[in-house]
Amino acid sequence: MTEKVVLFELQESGFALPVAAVEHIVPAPRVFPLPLLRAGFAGVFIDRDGVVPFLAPRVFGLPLRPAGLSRYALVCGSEAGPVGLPAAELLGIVNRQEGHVEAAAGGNAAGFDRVFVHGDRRYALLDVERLLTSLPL
Amino acid sequence: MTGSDGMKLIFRLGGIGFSLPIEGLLEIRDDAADTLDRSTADATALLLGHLPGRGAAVPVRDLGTRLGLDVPFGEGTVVLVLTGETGVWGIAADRVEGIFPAAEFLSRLLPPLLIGRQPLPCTHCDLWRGEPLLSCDSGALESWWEGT
Repeated sequence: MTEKVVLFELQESGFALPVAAVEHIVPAPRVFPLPLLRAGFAGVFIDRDGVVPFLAPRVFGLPLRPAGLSRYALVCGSEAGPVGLPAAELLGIVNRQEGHVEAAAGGNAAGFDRVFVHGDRRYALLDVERLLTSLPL
Repeated sequence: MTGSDGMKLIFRLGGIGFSLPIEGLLEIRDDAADTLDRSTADATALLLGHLPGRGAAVPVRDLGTRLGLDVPFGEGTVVLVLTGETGVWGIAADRVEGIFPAAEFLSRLLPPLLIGRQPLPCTHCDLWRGEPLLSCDSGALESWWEGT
Protein backbone atom coordinates (compact mmCIF):
# COMPACT_ATOMS: atom_id res chain seq x y z
CA MET A 1 0.00 0.00 0.00
CA THR A 2 1.35 3.41 -0.93
CA GLU A 3 2.27 5.43 2.14
CA LYS A 4 0.55 8.77 2.21
CA VAL A 5 1.30 11.97 4.04
CA VAL A 6 -1.11 14.70 5.08
CA LEU A 7 0.22 18.22 4.70
CA PHE A 8 -1.11 21.04 6.84
CA GLU A 9 -0.26 24.53 7.90
CA LEU A 10 -0.27 26.31 11.23
CA GLN A 11 0.78 29.94 11.60
CA GLU A 12 2.22 29.86 8.08
CA SER A 13 4.49 26.93 8.96
CA GLY A 14 4.12 23.68 7.08
CA PHE A 15 3.85 20.27 8.74
CA ALA A 16 3.56 16.73 7.50
CA LEU A 17 2.10 13.70 9.22
CA PRO A 18 1.78 10.11 8.02
CA VAL A 19 -1.85 9.53 7.18
CA ALA A 20 -1.74 6.30 9.15
CA ALA A 21 -1.23 8.37 12.30
CA VAL A 22 -4.42 10.38 11.76
CA GLU A 23 -7.66 8.79 12.92
CA HIS A 24 -9.89 11.58 11.67
CA ILE A 25 -10.10 15.34 11.41
CA VAL A 26 -12.44 17.55 13.42
CA PRO A 27 -13.38 20.93 11.95
CA ALA A 28 -13.52 23.98 14.20
CA PRO A 29 -12.97 22.18 17.49
CA ARG A 30 -14.17 24.05 20.54
CA VAL A 31 -11.25 23.90 22.93
CA PHE A 32 -11.99 24.17 26.64
CA PRO A 33 -9.22 25.21 29.01
CA LEU A 34 -8.62 23.20 32.16
CA PRO A 35 -6.58 24.13 35.23
CA LEU A 36 -3.18 22.64 36.05
CA LEU A 37 -2.77 21.25 32.59
CA ARG A 38 0.42 19.49 31.70
CA ALA A 39 2.70 21.79 29.74
CA GLY A 40 2.12 21.60 26.00
CA PHE A 41 -1.64 21.27 26.08
CA ALA A 42 -4.07 24.09 25.35
CA GLY A 43 -7.10 22.29 26.72
CA VAL A 44 -9.52 19.61 25.63
CA PHE A 45 -12.27 19.23 23.07
CA ILE A 46 -15.15 16.85 22.88
CA ASP A 47 -15.04 14.34 20.05
CA ARG A 48 -17.59 11.55 19.65
CA ASP A 49 -18.57 11.76 23.32
CA GLY A 50 -14.97 11.51 24.40
CA VAL A 51 -12.56 14.05 25.86
CA VAL A 52 -9.46 14.61 23.73
CA PRO A 53 -6.39 16.61 24.78
CA PHE A 54 -5.48 19.40 22.38
CA LEU A 55 -1.86 20.30 21.83
CA ALA A 56 -0.79 23.92 21.98
CA PRO A 57 0.95 25.46 18.93
CA ARG A 58 4.05 26.16 21.01
CA VAL A 59 4.70 22.42 21.01
CA PHE A 60 5.60 22.88 17.38
CA GLY A 61 7.94 25.71 18.22
CA LEU A 62 5.39 28.32 17.25
CA PRO A 63 4.69 31.48 19.24
CA LEU A 64 1.68 31.75 21.46
CA ARG A 65 -1.21 33.40 19.65
CA PRO A 66 -4.86 33.93 20.55
CA ALA A 67 -7.10 30.90 20.32
CA GLY A 68 -9.24 30.46 17.25
CA LEU A 69 -6.45 30.09 14.72
CA SER A 70 -6.79 26.31 14.69
CA ARG A 71 -9.55 25.60 12.24
CA TYR A 72 -9.02 21.90 12.54
CA ALA A 73 -7.95 19.27 14.99
CA LEU A 74 -6.15 16.25 13.59
CA VAL A 75 -7.10 13.47 15.96
CA CYS A 76 -4.16 11.12 16.20
CA GLY A 77 -3.80 7.89 18.08
CA SER A 78 -1.05 7.39 20.61
CA GLU A 79 -0.11 4.87 23.24
CA ALA A 80 -1.70 7.17 25.81
CA GLY A 81 -4.92 7.65 23.88
CA PRO A 82 -6.12 10.07 21.22
CA VAL A 83 -4.65 13.55 21.00
CA GLY A 84 -5.59 16.53 18.86
CA LEU A 85 -3.06 18.42 16.79
CA PRO A 86 -3.97 21.96 15.73
CA ALA A 87 -4.08 22.91 12.05
CA ALA A 88 -5.13 26.14 10.39
CA GLU A 89 -5.14 24.90 6.83
CA LEU A 90 -5.24 21.42 5.34
CA LEU A 91 -3.07 21.47 2.25
CA GLY A 92 -3.73 17.97 1.00
CA ILE A 93 -2.74 14.34 1.07
CA VAL A 94 0.14 13.21 -1.09
CA ASN A 95 1.98 9.97 -1.74
CA ARG A 96 5.20 9.84 0.21
CA GLN A 97 7.05 9.02 -3.00
CA GLU A 98 6.05 12.41 -4.37
CA GLY A 99 8.56 13.98 -2.04
CA HIS A 100 11.59 13.03 -0.05
CA VAL A 101 12.65 13.14 3.59
CA GLU A 102 15.78 14.81 4.79
CA ALA A 103 17.23 15.90 8.10
CA ALA A 104 15.92 19.19 9.44
CA ALA A 105 18.42 21.98 9.55
CA GLY A 106 19.24 23.67 12.82
CA GLY A 107 18.96 20.95 15.37
CA ASN A 108 17.11 17.90 16.47
CA ALA A 109 13.87 19.13 17.97
CA ALA A 110 11.91 16.29 19.43
CA GLY A 111 9.01 15.28 17.26
CA PHE A 112 10.30 16.83 14.05
CA ASP A 113 13.97 16.36 13.32
CA ARG A 114 13.14 15.57 9.74
CA VAL A 115 11.40 17.44 6.98
CA PHE A 116 9.32 16.20 4.11
CA VAL A 117 10.18 18.08 0.96
CA HIS A 118 7.35 18.31 -1.53
CA GLY A 119 7.59 20.61 -4.51
CA ASP A 120 9.38 23.72 -3.41
CA ARG A 121 8.23 23.57 0.18
CA ARG A 122 9.59 21.91 3.29
CA TYR A 123 7.24 20.47 5.88
CA ALA A 124 8.33 19.49 9.38
CA LEU A 125 7.66 15.74 9.53
CA LEU A 126 5.90 14.97 12.79
CA ASP A 127 6.08 11.85 14.94
CA VAL A 128 3.22 11.99 17.43
CA GLU A 129 4.72 9.60 19.97
CA ARG A 130 8.02 11.47 20.01
CA LEU A 131 6.15 14.74 20.29
CA LEU A 132 4.25 13.54 23.33
CA THR A 133 7.23 12.03 25.07
CA SER A 134 9.12 15.28 24.62
CA LEU A 135 6.55 17.15 26.71
CA PRO A 136 7.61 17.94 30.26
CA LEU A 137 5.50 16.63 33.08
CA MET B 1 -31.82 15.74 51.49
CA THR B 2 -35.18 14.45 50.31
CA GLY B 3 -35.55 14.31 46.54
CA SER B 4 -31.96 15.30 45.97
CA ASP B 5 -30.74 11.92 44.81
CA GLY B 6 -29.00 12.09 41.47
CA MET B 7 -28.71 15.85 41.29
CA LYS B 8 -25.59 17.81 40.48
CA LEU B 9 -24.74 21.43 40.93
CA ILE B 10 -22.74 23.25 38.29
CA PHE B 11 -20.54 26.13 39.31
CA ARG B 12 -18.06 28.31 37.46
CA LEU B 13 -14.68 29.42 38.65
CA GLY B 14 -12.14 31.30 36.56
CA GLY B 15 -13.88 30.30 33.34
CA ILE B 16 -13.82 26.61 34.25
CA GLY B 17 -16.99 24.63 34.78
CA PHE B 18 -17.34 22.16 37.63
CA SER B 19 -20.01 19.65 38.56
CA LEU B 20 -20.66 18.64 42.15
CA PRO B 21 -23.11 16.06 43.55
CA ILE B 22 -25.31 17.92 45.97
CA GLU B 23 -25.09 15.20 48.64
CA GLY B 24 -22.07 16.92 50.19
CA LEU B 25 -23.46 20.41 49.75
CA LEU B 26 -24.91 22.10 52.82
CA GLU B 27 -25.81 25.47 51.43
CA ILE B 28 -25.05 28.11 48.86
CA ARG B 29 -24.09 31.47 50.34
CA ASP B 30 -24.64 34.33 47.96
CA ASP B 31 -24.12 36.83 50.76
CA ALA B 32 -20.44 35.99 51.06
CA ALA B 33 -19.24 39.32 49.73
CA ASP B 34 -20.98 41.08 52.63
CA THR B 35 -20.50 38.56 55.41
CA LEU B 36 -17.04 37.08 54.87
CA ASP B 37 -14.76 37.89 57.79
CA ARG B 38 -11.47 38.55 56.08
CA SER B 39 -9.61 39.28 59.29
CA THR B 40 -8.83 35.57 59.47
CA ALA B 41 -7.61 35.33 55.88
CA ASP B 42 -4.31 33.56 55.35
CA ALA B 43 -2.89 33.68 51.84
CA THR B 44 -0.28 31.05 52.63
CA ALA B 45 -2.97 28.61 53.69
CA LEU B 46 -5.20 29.72 50.79
CA LEU B 47 -7.81 30.76 53.31
CA LEU B 48 -10.03 33.64 52.26
CA GLY B 49 -11.60 34.08 55.68
CA HIS B 50 -14.58 32.75 57.59
CA LEU B 51 -18.30 32.98 57.11
CA PRO B 52 -20.69 33.04 60.05
CA GLY B 53 -22.21 29.58 60.06
CA ARG B 54 -24.45 27.22 61.88
CA GLY B 55 -22.88 27.36 65.32
CA ALA B 56 -19.35 27.75 64.05
CA ALA B 57 -17.55 29.93 61.58
CA VAL B 58 -17.06 28.30 58.19
CA PRO B 59 -13.53 28.50 56.73
CA VAL B 60 -13.63 29.54 53.09
CA ARG B 61 -10.86 28.11 50.94
CA ASP B 62 -9.42 29.72 47.84
CA LEU B 63 -9.96 26.90 45.37
CA GLY B 64 -9.27 29.18 42.44
CA THR B 65 -5.77 30.11 43.52
CA ARG B 66 -5.04 26.51 44.40
CA LEU B 67 -5.93 25.62 40.81
CA GLY B 68 -3.74 28.38 39.42
CA LEU B 69 -6.69 30.49 38.30
CA ASP B 70 -6.89 34.28 38.57
CA VAL B 71 -10.14 34.65 40.46
CA PRO B 72 -10.35 37.67 42.76
CA PHE B 73 -13.02 37.57 45.45
CA GLY B 74 -15.63 40.09 44.37
CA GLU B 75 -19.15 41.31 44.81
CA GLY B 76 -20.74 38.40 43.04
CA THR B 77 -18.62 35.66 44.58
CA VAL B 78 -20.65 32.75 45.90
CA VAL B 79 -19.51 30.34 48.59
CA LEU B 80 -20.49 26.68 48.43
CA VAL B 81 -20.60 25.28 51.95
CA LEU B 82 -19.59 21.64 51.94
CA THR B 83 -19.45 18.97 54.58
CA GLY B 84 -16.66 16.47 54.94
CA GLU B 85 -14.69 14.35 57.34
CA THR B 86 -12.85 17.36 58.73
CA GLY B 87 -16.03 19.34 59.25
CA VAL B 88 -17.81 22.09 57.39
CA TRP B 89 -15.90 24.23 54.95
CA GLY B 90 -16.53 26.43 51.96
CA ILE B 91 -15.14 27.12 48.53
CA ALA B 92 -15.52 30.37 46.62
CA ALA B 93 -17.06 30.27 43.15
CA ASP B 94 -17.75 32.94 40.56
CA ARG B 95 -21.32 31.81 40.11
CA VAL B 96 -23.67 28.86 40.33
CA GLU B 97 -25.13 27.73 37.02
CA GLY B 98 -27.85 25.64 38.58
CA ILE B 99 -28.77 22.18 39.80
CA PHE B 100 -29.54 19.52 37.24
CA PRO B 101 -30.47 15.84 37.16
CA ALA B 102 -27.47 13.53 37.10
CA ALA B 103 -28.94 11.90 33.99
CA GLU B 104 -27.96 15.00 32.02
CA PHE B 105 -24.26 14.32 32.64
CA LEU B 106 -22.06 11.84 30.81
CA SER B 107 -19.04 10.86 32.86
CA ARG B 108 -15.68 10.48 31.14
CA LEU B 109 -12.23 9.76 32.51
CA LEU B 110 -9.87 12.69 32.17
CA PRO B 111 -7.13 11.74 29.69
CA PRO B 112 -4.00 10.68 31.57
CA LEU B 113 -1.95 12.64 29.03
CA LEU B 114 -3.17 15.85 30.63
CA ILE B 115 -1.93 15.11 34.11
CA GLY B 116 1.04 17.24 35.05
CA ARG B 117 3.04 17.58 38.22
CA GLN B 118 0.08 18.96 40.15
CA PRO B 119 -2.93 16.67 40.33
CA LEU B 120 -6.46 17.85 39.83
CA PRO B 121 -9.08 17.27 42.52
CA CYS B 122 -10.90 14.89 40.22
CA THR B 123 -10.23 12.05 37.82
CA HIS B 124 -13.30 12.45 35.66
CA CYS B 125 -15.17 15.11 33.84
CA ASP B 126 -18.87 15.34 33.11
CA LEU B 127 -19.95 16.11 29.57
CA TRP B 128 -22.93 18.40 29.84
CA ARG B 129 -24.58 20.14 26.91
CA GLY B 130 -21.45 19.91 24.78
CA GLU B 131 -19.09 21.08 27.50
CA PRO B 132 -16.65 19.22 29.76
CA LEU B 133 -17.06 20.01 33.45
CA LEU B 134 -14.56 18.92 36.06
CA SER B 135 -16.45 16.36 38.11
CA CYS B 136 -15.75 16.88 41.79
CA ASP B 137 -17.34 15.71 45.00
CA SER B 138 -16.91 17.17 48.45
CA GLY B 139 -14.97 14.17 49.74
CA ALA B 140 -12.48 14.17 46.90
CA LEU B 141 -12.07 17.94 47.14
CA GLU B 142 -11.37 17.64 50.83
CA SER B 143 -8.82 14.85 50.37
CA TRP B 144 -7.11 16.76 47.59
CA TRP B 145 -7.03 19.92 49.66
CA GLU B 146 -5.65 18.17 52.72
CA GLY B 147 -2.93 16.70 50.56
CA THR B 148 -1.70 20.13 49.38
